[in-house]
Amino acid sequence: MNYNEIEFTLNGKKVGPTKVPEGTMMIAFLHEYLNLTGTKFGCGAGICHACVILEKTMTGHNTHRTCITGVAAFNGMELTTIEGHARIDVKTQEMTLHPVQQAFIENFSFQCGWCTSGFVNEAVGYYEELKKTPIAKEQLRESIEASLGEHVCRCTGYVKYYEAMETLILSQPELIK
Amino acid sequence: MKKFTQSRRDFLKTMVIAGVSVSFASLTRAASGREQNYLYKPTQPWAEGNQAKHRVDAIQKVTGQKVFARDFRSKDFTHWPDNQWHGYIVCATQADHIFKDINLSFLEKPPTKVILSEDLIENNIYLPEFHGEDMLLPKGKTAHFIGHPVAILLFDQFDDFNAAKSRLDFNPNLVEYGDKTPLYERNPYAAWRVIRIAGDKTEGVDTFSPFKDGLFFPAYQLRQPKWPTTKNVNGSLSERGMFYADKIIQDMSNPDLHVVDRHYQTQIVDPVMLEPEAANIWYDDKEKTLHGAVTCQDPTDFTEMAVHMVKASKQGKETKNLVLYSGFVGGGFGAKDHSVFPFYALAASLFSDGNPIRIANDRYQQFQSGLKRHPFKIHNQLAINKKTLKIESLTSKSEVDGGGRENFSASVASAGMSAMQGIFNIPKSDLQATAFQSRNVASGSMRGYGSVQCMPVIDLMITQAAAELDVDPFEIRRKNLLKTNDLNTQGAKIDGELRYLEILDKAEKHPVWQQRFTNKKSYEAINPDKLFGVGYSLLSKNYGTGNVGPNSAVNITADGEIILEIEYMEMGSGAQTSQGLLTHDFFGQAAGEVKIAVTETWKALQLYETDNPYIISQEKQDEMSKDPLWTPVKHMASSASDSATFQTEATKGACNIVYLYGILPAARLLWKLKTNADLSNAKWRDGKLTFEDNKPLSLAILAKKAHDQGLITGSVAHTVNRWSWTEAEFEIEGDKRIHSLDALAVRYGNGATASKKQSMDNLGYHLIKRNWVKYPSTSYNNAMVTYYAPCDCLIELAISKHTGKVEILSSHSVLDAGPVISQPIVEGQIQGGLVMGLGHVLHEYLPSFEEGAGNGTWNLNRYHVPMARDVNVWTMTSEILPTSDKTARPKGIAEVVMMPVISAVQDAIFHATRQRFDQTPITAEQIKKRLNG
Repeated sequence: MNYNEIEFTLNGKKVGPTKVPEGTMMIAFLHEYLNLTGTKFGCGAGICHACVILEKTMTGHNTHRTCITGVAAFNGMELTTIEGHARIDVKTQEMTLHPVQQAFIENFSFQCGWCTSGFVNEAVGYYEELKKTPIAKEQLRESIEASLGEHVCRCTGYVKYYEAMETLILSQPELIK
Repeated sequence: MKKFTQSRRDFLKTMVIAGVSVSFASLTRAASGREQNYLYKPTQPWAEGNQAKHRVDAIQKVTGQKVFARDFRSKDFTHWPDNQWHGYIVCATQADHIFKDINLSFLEKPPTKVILSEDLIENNIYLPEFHGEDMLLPKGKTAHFIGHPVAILLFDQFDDFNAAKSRLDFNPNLVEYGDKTPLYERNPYAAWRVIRIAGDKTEGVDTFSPFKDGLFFPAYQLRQPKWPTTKNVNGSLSERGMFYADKIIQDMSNPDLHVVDRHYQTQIVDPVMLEPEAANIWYDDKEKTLHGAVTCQDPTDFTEMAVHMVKASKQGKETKNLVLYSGFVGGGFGAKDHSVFPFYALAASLFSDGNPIRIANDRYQQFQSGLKRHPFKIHNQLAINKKTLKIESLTSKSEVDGGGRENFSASVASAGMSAMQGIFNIPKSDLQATAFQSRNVASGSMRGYGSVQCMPVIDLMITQAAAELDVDPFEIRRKNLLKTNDLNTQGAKIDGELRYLEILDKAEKHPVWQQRFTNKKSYEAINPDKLFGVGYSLLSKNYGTGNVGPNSAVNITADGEIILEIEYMEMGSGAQTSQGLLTHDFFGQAAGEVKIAVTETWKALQLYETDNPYIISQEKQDEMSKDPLWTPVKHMASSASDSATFQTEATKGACNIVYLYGILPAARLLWKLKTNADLSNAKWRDGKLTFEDNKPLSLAILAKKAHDQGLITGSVAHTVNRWSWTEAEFEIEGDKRIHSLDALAVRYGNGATASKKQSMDNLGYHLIKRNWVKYPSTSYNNAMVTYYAPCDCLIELAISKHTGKVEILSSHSVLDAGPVISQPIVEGQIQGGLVMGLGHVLHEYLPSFEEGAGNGTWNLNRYHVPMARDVNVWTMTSEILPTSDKTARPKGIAEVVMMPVISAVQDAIFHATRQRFDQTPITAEQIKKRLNG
């Protein structure tokens, strides 16, 4: 068995350097090595996007499908999984959700929740990009569709996810140009 | 709806092995300290008044906490060994050749262990009777179906498993086959025939019907049902039935009748619940305890079957305990209801040298092994009187492909048949449905349960008849609508208010319908390469299983916190949230904690069953009912369409006991009223109990008083529904009353007297035996269904003339859900259901047999579930009918919401193209072919 050495930042913490067998997908690494199971396995073929995690780059945000991407491909990246978006006050232990997470729960956006991790990561990346590059109001719906359009949800019909994003963005004038 | 019918032998077995203690634990509670790092208890309540601010499970799910059974590994569980073994199930993909052996020579490192059929047989390990035979196919035999498991490979390290999996997947050399053989065959799983001739008067007694006269069944010849041939109006049940069946056919030749004669076909559909099945099982040989965390919708039935299986094995014959850790289900849609999957992990755990075993399907494996929606082939003849436009008769014959394991095929066929009438009053009918065995992957209780295949058909036939008779489709619908107390095709009275007329009126007045012709003209003028169509359908889904025994428990702490325990699993449909809101009417606030999938607490009721509730005689039921610990049915499986109706009854029943005998007596004391003061007008307002001019009281104050005084602060309740509710009299605190319950246990507050405390000897509860009980009559078993929930769909679509692609422009649904517990939860069901219906009618398709899911090569790259771009996300509207009927009960709506869109889309495609399609899915390719010849 051959091994790759991997090292990256995940949810603000350094992972590695450590050796992982070649061919190990990122989702398997998250689940079996780090015991972070919030990232969900849906199709294993890169179609459903349930397994998407977020990368913060020097210039913006990227998302990656962890079920078809080997862990070694993430070397050097700064990554966030579903477990890393909410902020916990060290003193009070109170949790503050990311505005996208808050919007999703207030709008009853998900049901079974298996697709939620992927939707949150994609939507957080999209939301953070809007802070830098606001969108015209008349292009908003099309923009939401382009952002979330590859994610499969089997329970909800997508409506409450999309409405949550529209409501959230419209409530923040700085995201609209 | 679902029916799980155990044989009498199984019931007895359950009693014999009562020595095995079966217990249940919450996954998150059972997990280790390491897992606790991800747990977060919300500091803010999830509900305000009787409104949910968000789902109970929202924060756990949106922050990725470990809450699903698939999330867990052995290292997450306290006391489990850390080292997790991993299993891989090898399947035969040829069902026409002998299975010779498996070949693992291409693996770099062999599995730690290989389990073959001979190993199971040697150790007396067999599938539960419900799942059939040949758990692993023995060498030398032919697979019963494509995808029949032949071996389980065990790996003691994840890295070895992972490396091997990449070589095992899709490897054509993995399974070796011998000579070609005939296909495996057996008689159909079931054949049903429901014949009804209404009496002369509409409200009269039927001349002949299953409800009045009973059901009869066929013999089998050449794998086909052979119905009796003797026809005699004065003869036996079957002879009379066949006489009337023949008469219906003869009468159809009447020239006054217009007969629509159509064949329809539905496809195999995969549920694609996004969480593929997974199971972690550990057999602790030292403690003789089987631990399991499995992705299942039916924890109670799973554990009962698991106990039988493990106790019968050589390794597990001394089993003393079974512990099931229940988590959330990442989508079910019926795929995790009585699935055979977890039993493979259970078998594997008996060979893993005391190490926990994990088997987790990937999506290819899930397609290959997971339960499907049954495909139906339907031949219908509908006769309508040309003058009166009244339906005279319907004949229907359905061939249902159940696949290679029986599962719920018999009951799905029956449910489909009984759904065939839709919303219409049909005075004469002969409905047949046969569930056949085939080499396809097994189908099960997937959302829609036969109705989704059958019910759209009748509405399509009505609209076709309207077009052929040149009458308005709304007019013909109105003339034939079922009304409350009409009889269904089984001859049973329809229960509850039917608001079909109201829904039809709304649809007919809707601008989309009113302007359909002008809109078509203008749309097609602007879009010359597209065809525009409007379609409509109103359907009414039967819900319920006919024999359910929901349990619920509620407790109020001395601080006024409400803890609710329900038997239901949370699959995403929102049962946990809606049940948690129900406490508001009794305690002025929603439950602080809602425990799901609880099964341990109900032992406080000490209930036992003896007979299959579907076939028990009235005499036996009457006799057994005298024993206050007997019940016809102890539990119910979780299904999305059942919680609102059935679980609610038990939850309300449990809450009512605490309200009547805990909260109200405490209020009387605090308000210094007489002990018999009538508080029936007391009301909760803004979280406080109010009565006349007395000072409003918070739950915290009332709870403290109730506890201090040793009043009733908790209760466990059970009831039974068989198309009617049970009633029983209980004497509680000296007060005799009739409740819609059959079993009850109560808990007294902290200040209870010593004797009261002593009486709480059943898991901390005091069992209160009923004085008498009245269970619904066993004759209701012939009714099959009597509960219905209607939903319609009005849809606008456009079709590309060049590609045949359908674009949904808008949709509007009206739903009668009865009293709504949580509006956003119901809206979510409507939206999600509509999209799943769109998948059924336009996109989702699995071929049969060798090219089908059993070959292990299917995934979402070629199985098209609706994406957002396939859906009218921004133009999907709905209306939930308000109800002022205070006696009405919430309806089961999770299935009906996906159905009318199917026939509405077909109706709209006809409006757009003047083409009728008789099979689903209606693909772009098929439309293109019709349009372009």
